[in-house]
Amino acid sequence: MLELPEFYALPPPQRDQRLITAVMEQHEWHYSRNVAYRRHCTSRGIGARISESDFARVLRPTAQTFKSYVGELGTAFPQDCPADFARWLAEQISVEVLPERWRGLRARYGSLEALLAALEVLFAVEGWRIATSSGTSGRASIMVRDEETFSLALDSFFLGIQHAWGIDLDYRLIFVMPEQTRIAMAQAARFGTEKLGYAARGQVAYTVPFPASPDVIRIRAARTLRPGIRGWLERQIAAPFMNWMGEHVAMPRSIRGTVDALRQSAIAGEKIMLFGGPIQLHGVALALRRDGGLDLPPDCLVGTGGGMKEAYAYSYTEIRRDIVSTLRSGEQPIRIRDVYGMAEANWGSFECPEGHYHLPPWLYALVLDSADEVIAAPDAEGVLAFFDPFGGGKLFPPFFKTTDRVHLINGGRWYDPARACPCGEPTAYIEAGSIARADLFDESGCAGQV
Amino acid sequence: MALNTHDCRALTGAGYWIPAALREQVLSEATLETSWGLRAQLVAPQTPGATAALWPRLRPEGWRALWEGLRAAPPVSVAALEAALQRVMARLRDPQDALHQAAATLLPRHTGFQTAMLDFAFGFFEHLPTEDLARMVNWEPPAAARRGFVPLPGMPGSVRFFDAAPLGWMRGLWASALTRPIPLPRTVVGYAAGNIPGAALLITLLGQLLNPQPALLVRNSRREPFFTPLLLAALEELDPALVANVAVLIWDYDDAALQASILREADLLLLVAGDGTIARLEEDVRRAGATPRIHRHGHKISFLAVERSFLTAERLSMVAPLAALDTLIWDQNGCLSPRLHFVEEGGAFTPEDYADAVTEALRPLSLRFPGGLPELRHLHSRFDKFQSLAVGGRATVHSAYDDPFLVVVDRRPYASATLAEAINDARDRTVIVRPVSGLEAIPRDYLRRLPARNLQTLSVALDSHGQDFLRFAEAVGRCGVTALRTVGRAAFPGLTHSWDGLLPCDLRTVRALGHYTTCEFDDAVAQIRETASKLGLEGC
Repeated sequence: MLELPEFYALPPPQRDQRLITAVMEQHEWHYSRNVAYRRHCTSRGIGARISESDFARVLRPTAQTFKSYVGELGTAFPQDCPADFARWLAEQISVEVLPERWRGLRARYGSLEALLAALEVLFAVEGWRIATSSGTSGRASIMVRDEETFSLALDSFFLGIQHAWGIDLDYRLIFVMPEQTRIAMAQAARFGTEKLGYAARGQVAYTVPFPASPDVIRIRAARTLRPGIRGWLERQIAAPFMNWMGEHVAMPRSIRGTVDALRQSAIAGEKIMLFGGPIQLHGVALALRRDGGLDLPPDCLVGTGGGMKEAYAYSYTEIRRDIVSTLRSGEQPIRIRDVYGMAEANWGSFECPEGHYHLPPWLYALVLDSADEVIAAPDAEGVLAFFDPFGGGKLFPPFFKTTDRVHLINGGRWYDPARACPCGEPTAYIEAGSIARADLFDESGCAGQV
Repeated sequence: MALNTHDCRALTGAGYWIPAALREQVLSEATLETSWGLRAQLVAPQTPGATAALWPRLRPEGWRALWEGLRAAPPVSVAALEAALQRVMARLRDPQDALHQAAATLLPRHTGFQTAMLDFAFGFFEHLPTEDLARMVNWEPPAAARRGFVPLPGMPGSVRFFDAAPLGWMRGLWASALTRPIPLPRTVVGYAAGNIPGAALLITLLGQLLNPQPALLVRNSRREPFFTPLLLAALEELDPALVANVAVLIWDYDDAALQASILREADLLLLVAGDGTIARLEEDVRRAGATPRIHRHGHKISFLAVERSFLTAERLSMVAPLAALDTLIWDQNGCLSPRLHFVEEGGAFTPEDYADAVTEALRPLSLRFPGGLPELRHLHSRFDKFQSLAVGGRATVHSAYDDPFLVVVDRRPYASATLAEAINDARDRTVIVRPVSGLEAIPRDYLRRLPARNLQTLSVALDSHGQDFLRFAEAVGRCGVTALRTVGRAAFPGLTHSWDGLLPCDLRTVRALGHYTTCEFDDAVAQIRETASKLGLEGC
């Protein structure tokens, strides 16, 4: 089996054929082992073996797959029914987990974080790490990754960062995010820096001073609250308090900590990669602007990720402009690059100098039309879907339909050299500025919504 | 202005209509604008597959000439209008006729609705009871309508008035009259929005029922700009006097001065638009310092209720195709489209059997009336969601992944958020069957939790002679439902009855704040049989 780095050297036609074959093999493997996936396939008339024409039908929606516990258990609070949740979780993965394994769970837990931590302890032998989506809706996707899957995810992310942005082991990494969190991207950052020795060498800093558990994120967003008096307390007391703390304590401290870390690196002449959400980085940029900006050593980079998840007075373009106007690297405007990804993906798509987002070469990515059919063309607009047969691990079938509409170039097996990105990277890429939520559809007719 | 086959070939049509006698003067030095549409969306010029609607940007002299001309139009006989309308509708249904061809060429692309569905729905206009409508304009419900349903004159059904004031019911104890006549509006301005054809035409018809007819200006929808100009042109061909007081135009909402000048002309505003647009227009009225009366027809939510007495072999095979048809029409994006199908438990068949029957009915009907707007991906997304609920035993899925519709039975506990989610999910041909222990649960457990101003129709399959029927009708009306209509009639709103809480007499009377609720039948079972027989859907 090919290692991920080897895919960079494979010519596109050869690469795509290998990926197609691997998808078919992976399907067969997961179909016989994964209850939820088999159920999904059966409902679409798909059996144990598939051909390429079945690819669109095996895709599962990222917006639902690892959130389906809400519908299946009838609650957004699995901590109230740990055994049922464990049973749900067992159905989502492609290894057999006998009910005896979760007998050690308590009847209920005080928080989702406590339940997930308990599961990680119970399945420590398998190396389970449980990640969540950002969960601002209060109904987070919950994904379990075992040792192999998690390791692949870390390899994938850091290989991508190195390949696309040239960030090697010499860099100091400053993450404007909490160290203690289950949000997938932050979790990958933490464990990836540990695996690659950044942490041991003291080359990493997390500047958000408070942990961000799924419960804290849910209460702060105040969109899904506990029923009854507890929910009232969450809405009336906990959420305002947490938001006040976030605005007046956590955010200022994070900005101050980031600015201090950047200044130290500037003084020490360290190359750095500063990474965080656009809004958090904008706060840093505005703070630096008040002090006249900062010049960092050459080859530094600012990475943004996670998109704009809350209402904010500035657009992403304005945020980038403000960062460039305050941070320089080697007396040049600092490089800013974005990364596109999602909790369900074991990969990131890194922005190139041309502004396009390159998908990793070990990923078979394509777009779907409004009928969920594959658009067989090298230049296509539709809903992004992906198969990750080499980087996705074996715990669950890494075949997903996203919620994002994109303009994809050279996806699937429709590679056209004439459409290759001018940056020189011969991979599929999402055209600059083309990523948009696909589930927002225009109003028509006169039917009301509530 | 007459039908222009050249325009049709070029997929360009008039998105406006001005009486022939005024056209030259009104359009003098006007600039012609083009608005492009494709599948209910406004799109960039020359977008492949799009159609273009032409509309004039009038000069101030043109507007003056238009108002003067509309106000100088001669009166119209309703009988003449009805006769002419029937001839025009016959042309519209004749595939060989230029009118039908123009509509069939322009409307499907622009609105996203397929020709077969449009042809079917146009039957509504063919059977429009214009004379009954005119009679209803002049009929005022008695004060007894405050206390209970009273029969409508010379037509099936009854009406009840629900006072919106907290102690409004007390008015029923002493008030002698429910309504008070006021001077007829001399100028009516309508705003028609959305992609469902005919909103501007309905406004026009309501205005023409007044005697004498007012000057009538309608702001046309850019998402469906063709239908009304085509029909008005065809009516004019028969008799120019029939529509000499009517103009249908597009103008720019953002032109504040123009908008204000138009609003100041109006004695009565008829707003058929989304809630956001209506709010904006109300703000424009305030800014303009205008004082017209306003009739609002915003976006609405409708439901369907099936009594257990209809869950028998004979009746289910009659009702299921009608329920399926109500769901299909306008791709379930119409204000009359049923969202949740409340089905009573305890019948010979279960709600799941009902769901199976509706699924079986939808299969052939979907072929007969293919969906134009629903995107399969939305249906697939809901399919997956309900499959997931099915695993937990909270739902059953009755349609297949490949069906161009979705039918489910939803047995989740409905917190307010879940109820809203289910209603919002029931679009694009998604039937959500909701089992209820008894019909009384519908107002008690569902309708009461929804904003009354957004409720519209409850399509019913029940026995209206049952002893609990009036109590049930009273309860749903009190929740805000404005029409009880038998199943299978969602494409054919009864304009003679309550339209969003308004009766035709509201054009010329005032009354307390509140809404009228009408039952559009005397014998629901007989009317359902009649609908099924007329539509020929039995056994679908």
